[in-house]
Amino acid sequence: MIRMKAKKFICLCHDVTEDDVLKAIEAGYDDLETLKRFTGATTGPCQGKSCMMHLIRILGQKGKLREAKTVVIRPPIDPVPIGIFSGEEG
Amino acid sequence: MKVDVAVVGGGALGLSIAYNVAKRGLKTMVFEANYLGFGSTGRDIGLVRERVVDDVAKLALMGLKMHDKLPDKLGVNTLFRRSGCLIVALEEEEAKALEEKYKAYKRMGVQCDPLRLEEVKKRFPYVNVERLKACYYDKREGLVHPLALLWAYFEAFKKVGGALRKQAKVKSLKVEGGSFRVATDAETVEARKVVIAAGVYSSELAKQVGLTVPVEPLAREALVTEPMKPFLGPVIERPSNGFLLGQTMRGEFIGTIGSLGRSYDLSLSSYSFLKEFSRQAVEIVPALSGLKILRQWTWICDTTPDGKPLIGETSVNGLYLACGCHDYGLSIIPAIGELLGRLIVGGEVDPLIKPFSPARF
Repeated sequence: MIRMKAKKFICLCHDVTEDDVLKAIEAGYDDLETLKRFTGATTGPCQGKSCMMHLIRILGQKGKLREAKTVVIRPPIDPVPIGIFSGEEG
Repeated sequence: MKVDVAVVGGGALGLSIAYNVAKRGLKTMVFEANYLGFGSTGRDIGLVRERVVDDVAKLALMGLKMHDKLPDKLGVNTLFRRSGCLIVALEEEEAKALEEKYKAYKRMGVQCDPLRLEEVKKRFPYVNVERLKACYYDKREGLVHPLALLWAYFEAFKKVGGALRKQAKVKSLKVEGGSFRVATDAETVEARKVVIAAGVYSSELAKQVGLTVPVEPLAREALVTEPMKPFLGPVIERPSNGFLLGQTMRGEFIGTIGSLGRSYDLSLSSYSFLKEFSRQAVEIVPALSGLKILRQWTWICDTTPDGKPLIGETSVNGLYLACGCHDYGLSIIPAIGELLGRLIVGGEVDPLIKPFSPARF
């Protein structure tokens, strides 16, 4: 039986696979903040809640983890509609 | 370790210069204190302008033309598009101020023309023209993904044999016997020539070799929204309050408004910025009301007293500066890389960068 190689998605916001991350690391984008910016993982609507630990795990498995920390977390914690801040929507 | 040229600063500017030097055959090394794009490259919203002060406009025009070709030349998509820019006034006084300013731009050769409000309504139906008093349209300006531009230069730099040191803050810079000693925590590298392209951090490094570089930080805030199907053609700018709104080729909206003044603090994230930006955004494009904001951050621009960048060789032989690019850095980065590259390798000072010589201070 021929089996297709399965894709492992680590970021569903930007469709980033584990393979994408491994290739990025090989190309020299091999620290957490750079991986974030290069692959787009952690920059989508989840803001890293579902993907960041995978980035950290893969970096760890490749022996590239320099320190135990996450990417810099920026507000807001969850996406908020513009209308809430402008007073258009309650 | 010995190199021909050491470039301090791993932003789009540093890598653009490094690539242009390395491709001409010089052994080149880039030192980045944090990660690539930690400085203003990774924080800029990506507007590529031609509306800049006098002499810079020529450089920006060269930059715009180069941006068109960079994806092909460097082999990486920089997500650049000629979006154009709508410049709006919401009050009568602003409209008058714009009229003066745009007459001056016109004289400089900037192609930015008034657009009648009926025309705005027809061509950009999502803009709330009821609130506008005047509108100008610059169809030549564009929007680039600053990080994609950085990756493009980084990939090209690697291909021509360049080396990068990350998390490598230059702790000491010394002149010794006609060459430089560039020292990080990990190593000391000997370099024949050094380029400082460290944005707002350039002055502290230059001080070590006795140079005063008048670069001051100007902190601004920026944000990005969730992506949606592209509909916003041009970037929308309101010069009176620094409001900028654009939609990238990935569909996200990016924006900024106002300024926080002089600060090096990268952790600033104010609630008042979100409120101010949001009010302004829905006033001009009401349809954005339901769009969700994902993230806000601080963007620090490196400014100079006369509004112009510092590009060229300093009074220290073999030491070059490339900083002070205010908020128009992305417009001129491709041009600076090319022209400073030629200067470093061949000694030729191009007339386009002559006005920006660090010797003027």
